[in-house]
Amino acid sequence: MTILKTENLKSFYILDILGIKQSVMAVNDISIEIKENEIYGIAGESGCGKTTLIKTIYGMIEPPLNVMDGRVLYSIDGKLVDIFSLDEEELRRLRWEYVSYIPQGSMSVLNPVTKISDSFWDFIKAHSNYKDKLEIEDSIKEHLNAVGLPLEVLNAYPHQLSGGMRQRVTIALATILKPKIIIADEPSTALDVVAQRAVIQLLKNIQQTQKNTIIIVTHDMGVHANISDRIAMMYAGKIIEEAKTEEIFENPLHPYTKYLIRSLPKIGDKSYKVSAPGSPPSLINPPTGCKFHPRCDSFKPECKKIEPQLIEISKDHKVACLLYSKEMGQ
Amino acid sequence: MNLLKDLLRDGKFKFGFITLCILLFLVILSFFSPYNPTIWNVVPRDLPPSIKHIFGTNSQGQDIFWQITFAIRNSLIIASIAALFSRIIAIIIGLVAGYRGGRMDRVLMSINDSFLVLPLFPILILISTLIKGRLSFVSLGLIGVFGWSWDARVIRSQILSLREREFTFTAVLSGSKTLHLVFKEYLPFVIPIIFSTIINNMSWAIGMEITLAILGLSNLEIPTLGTMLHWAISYQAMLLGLWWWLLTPVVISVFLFVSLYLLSVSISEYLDPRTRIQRIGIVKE
Amino acid sequence: MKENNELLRIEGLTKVFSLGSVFSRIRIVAVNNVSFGINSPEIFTLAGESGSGKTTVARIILGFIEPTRGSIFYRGNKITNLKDIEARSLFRKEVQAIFQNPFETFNPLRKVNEYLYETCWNFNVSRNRNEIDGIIDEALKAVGLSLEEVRDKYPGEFSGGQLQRISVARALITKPQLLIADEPVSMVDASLRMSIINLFKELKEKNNVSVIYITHDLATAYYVSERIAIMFRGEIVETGPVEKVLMEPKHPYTMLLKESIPEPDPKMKWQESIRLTASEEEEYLRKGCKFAGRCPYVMDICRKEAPGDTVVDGVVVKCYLYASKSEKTIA
Repeated sequence: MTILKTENLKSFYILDILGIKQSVMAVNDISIEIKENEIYGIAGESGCGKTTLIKTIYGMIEPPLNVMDGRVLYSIDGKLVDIFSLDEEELRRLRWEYVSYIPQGSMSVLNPVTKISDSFWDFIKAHSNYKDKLEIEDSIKEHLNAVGLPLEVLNAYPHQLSGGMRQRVTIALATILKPKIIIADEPSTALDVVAQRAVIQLLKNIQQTQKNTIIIVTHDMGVHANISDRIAMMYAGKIIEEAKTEEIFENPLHPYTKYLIRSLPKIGDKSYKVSAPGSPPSLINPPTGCKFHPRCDSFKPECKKIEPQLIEISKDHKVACLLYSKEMGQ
Repeated sequence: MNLLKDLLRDGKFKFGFITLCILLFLVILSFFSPYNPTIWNVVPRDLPPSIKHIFGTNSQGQDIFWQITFAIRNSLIIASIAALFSRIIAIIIGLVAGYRGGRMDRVLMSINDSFLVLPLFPILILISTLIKGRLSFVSLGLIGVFGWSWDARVIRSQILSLREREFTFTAVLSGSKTLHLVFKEYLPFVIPIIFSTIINNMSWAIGMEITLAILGLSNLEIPTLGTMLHWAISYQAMLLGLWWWLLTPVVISVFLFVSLYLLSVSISEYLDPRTRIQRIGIVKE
Repeated sequence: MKENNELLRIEGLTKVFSLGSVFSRIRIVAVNNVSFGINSPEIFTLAGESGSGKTTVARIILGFIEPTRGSIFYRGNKITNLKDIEARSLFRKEVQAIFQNPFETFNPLRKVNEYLYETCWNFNVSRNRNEIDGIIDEALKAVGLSLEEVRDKYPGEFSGGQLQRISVARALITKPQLLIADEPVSMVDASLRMSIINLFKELKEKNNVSVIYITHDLATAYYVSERIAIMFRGEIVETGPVEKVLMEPKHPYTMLLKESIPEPDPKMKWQESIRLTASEEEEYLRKGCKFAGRCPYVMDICRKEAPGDTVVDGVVVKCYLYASKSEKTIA
C-alpha cells in the first residue's frame, strides 16, 4: 500500500544576489511512491538535492525555497491528502504524530539546559492526549526499553552523553508517538563508525517492531546496504534509478550507479578501483538533456538533447537512461 | 568603476552617496566663500532666507549659507582625523594581540580595557575646560584617541578565530612568514570591520564635537556644526523667531548622520566575507 | 636504533591537554606514549575514531603543537623542539600535509593559485615567473587538473573533490618525501574518492613518497596501505601489516571496529547488536585498559593495570588476551 507519493515535484531555491535572479533546481520533476512497512533509501552525493527533496516532502518550505510544480500526497486513513492544501494547524498535527523528521546534525535538537526526561515530557504533552503523569512516565520507560536505551539517560543532560547516545535519544524522541512515517536525514553521518552502527540498528529495530515506514537519506552506500529495502539514486535533482537494494548492488543499470558501486572499497578486496570522471554538475546551470552526459562513457549525441524518463525496465527496477529506453523501443 | 556600479545597485548606498556628494559639494564651495567666517557683521543681521542670502543671516551678521559650508568642512575634517587615529591604533593593537597571544595579548588587553571603561564624556569636558581657548582642529581630532578600544577587541577576536582555521595551516605549510600571513590571509576579513567602524567613528566624533560646542567648551570662533548651534542657542534664535539660524545646522547634521549611516551599513554589507563569497560565483558567469 | 630505510620515527609521544579554570582542571591525555616508524617508501595508516588522538599526532609531527613528552626523529635527526630555522625550513619542504575539509583548506577570499605560487617561491623551488608557471602546471596535471582551469579562481568556484586535488598538488610542489594526509577523502563524494586514493598509491610507486594516511575508514585503509596502527583514546592498540590486522583482528577494539563498518554489500548485514558507552569522558579517565568498559573479553586485570605491548604473529597488540601466547613481551 502506498503511504506517500510525489507527482512531478519541482522545488527550487530562488536566489537574488545583486539584482540577478538565479534558480537552484534542487528537486527537478520527481515522482516516487513509498509503501507502508518498508525502509526506503534515498542515495546521492553532496549537492544532488536529496535534503531538499525530503524537506519538501515534510512540508518545510521556507524562502528561498519555493515549490514550483507538482504535489506531495500522503495516504491518511485511506484518503490521499495533498500536504500543501493543509493549513498551519493541520500541518502541525500531521507532523510528529503521523510523520516525524530527524534532521541532519539532530544531536543539537535536544534542549541543552533541561534533562532528557523533560524533553520527552514536553514533547508528549504537546502532541498527545495523555493527561495522567504516571501513564506518560510509563510510556516513556516502555519505549526506551523497547529501543534498547538504558533508563539512566533520562536523568542526564544532553552534554553529558556521547554523540551516539544523543542521536539515539533523539530518535527515541521522534518515535515515541509511533508515527507512521519517519524521515531521517543523514542520521549517522556525523558519528563514529561504532556509534553509527548502533544508530542504524536502532532504526531497523524500530521499523521491525512498529512496522512503519522509514525514509532514510544518506550518501553512505554501506548504510543503505544494511538497512534499506529499496533505494532511489538521486543525481542533479532527479531520480535516475530505483530498485530493491540487492538489485542496485548486484545489477546497477545507470552508468552513474555503476561507477558508484564499483568504486566502493571493501576489506579483503585489493583490486583496482576507479572513480567517476569529472564532478557533479551545478544545479543552477545543469547540462542539457541527461544531466550525467558530460561524465558518461556510454555517451551518444541524443543524450545531450533528450531528457530520459524514469521507466520500469524489469520488475521493480526503474532507470532513467536512454541506453535502456531505446531498447524498450521508446 | 565596477565597484561603484555594484555598490550603487543598493538603494541605501545610492541615497547615502548622493547626499554625501551634495555635502561635499558644499564643502568645495567653502573655498569660494566671499566672506571670512570668523569675522562678524559682514552682512545685515537677522535677515530671513532670500535670494541674496539663501539660508538667511544670523545675529552676528554672518551669511548662514556660507557659514554652513565652512561648518561642514570643519566638522568633516575633525571627524576624519579622529577616525584615522583611532583606526590605526585599533588595527595595530588588535592584530598584534590576536596573533601573538600570550603575555603580549594580556598586557595589551588590560590597557585596552582600561580605556574602554573610561568615563569618556566627563574626561572630555575636563580637558576642554582646561585648554578652552587653544583647542585647534588637531586636538579636537584627538577625540579619536578614545575611540579605538572597542574595535581593537573586535579585531582581536576576529584574528583569534581566524588563527584556528585550516587555511592558516595551509599558509604555514606554504612557507608564509608571520607578518605576511597576518596581512595577506587575515586582513581581508578584518577590513569590513574597519570600514564599518570608520564611519561609525566619524559620526560619533561629529556628535561629540557638537555636544562639546553646544556646551561652550570648544573654540567657538571656528565655524563647525556644533559652534553654529551653540551661537544660535545662546542668541535665543528660537524665541526671536530666527528659525533659519537653528534649522540650517540641525537639518544639515541630520543629513550628514543619515548619509554616513547608510554608507556604513551598505559598504560593510558589501565587504562582508559571506556576501563576497556569494558574489564571486555570480560575477564570473 | 636507526634502521636504514627509516624515514620517520616517533617515540613515546605524549600530549596532555589541561582544560578548565583555576578551580577545576581536567587533564585529558590526548596522546599516550605513542611510538611507530615509517619506512621509505611506504603508505602507513593511522586509524581510529574521533577522539582517538590521530589528528593530534599529525599536528605534533607537523610542528603545530608541542608534545608534552616524547621525541620525533626525521631521517635520524631529532626534530622535536627544533630551534634551527634552516633545519625547520628543510623539514617543511620535505614533510607536507593535506587536511580533511577541502573548503577550509584555502582562504575563501584568496585565489587558489596564489598558494601554489607562494609554495614555489617560499621554498626556493624556483624564483623565475615562467618556470614557476610550468612547475605549478606540472603539479596540477599530476592530479588531473591544469593551470588554465585553476588560474585566478576562488575556492568557492570548485567542488570538494577538485579542491582536495589542488591541495595535493600544492603539497607536491616541493617534492616532499613524506605526505601526511588527515582524513583526505572523508568529505569528498564517494564516487570521487578513489581517484584521490589512487594518487597516493601512484606517489609511493612512482615517486617514492611515503604517506601517513589518517582515517576512520578501514575499507580505504585496506585498499591503499601496507601497515596500519589502530588508535583508541590516545593509545595505539594494534599495529601490523594491513592484511593481518584487518582480516584477522586481534585486539577486541579492532574487532569491534571492523564489524561496525557498514559493508556495501547487502548480503553481509550486521547480525548482532553492540554496546555503546554513555559518555566518552569516562573512558579517557579510566585506569587500566581504556577499552575495559566495553570489552566482551574483559578480565579482572584489565581494569587494574594498563596492558603493555605484546608481539603476536608479526602484529604488536596491547591486550592481556595475548600476554601469555606471546613470542616476545615488551613491558
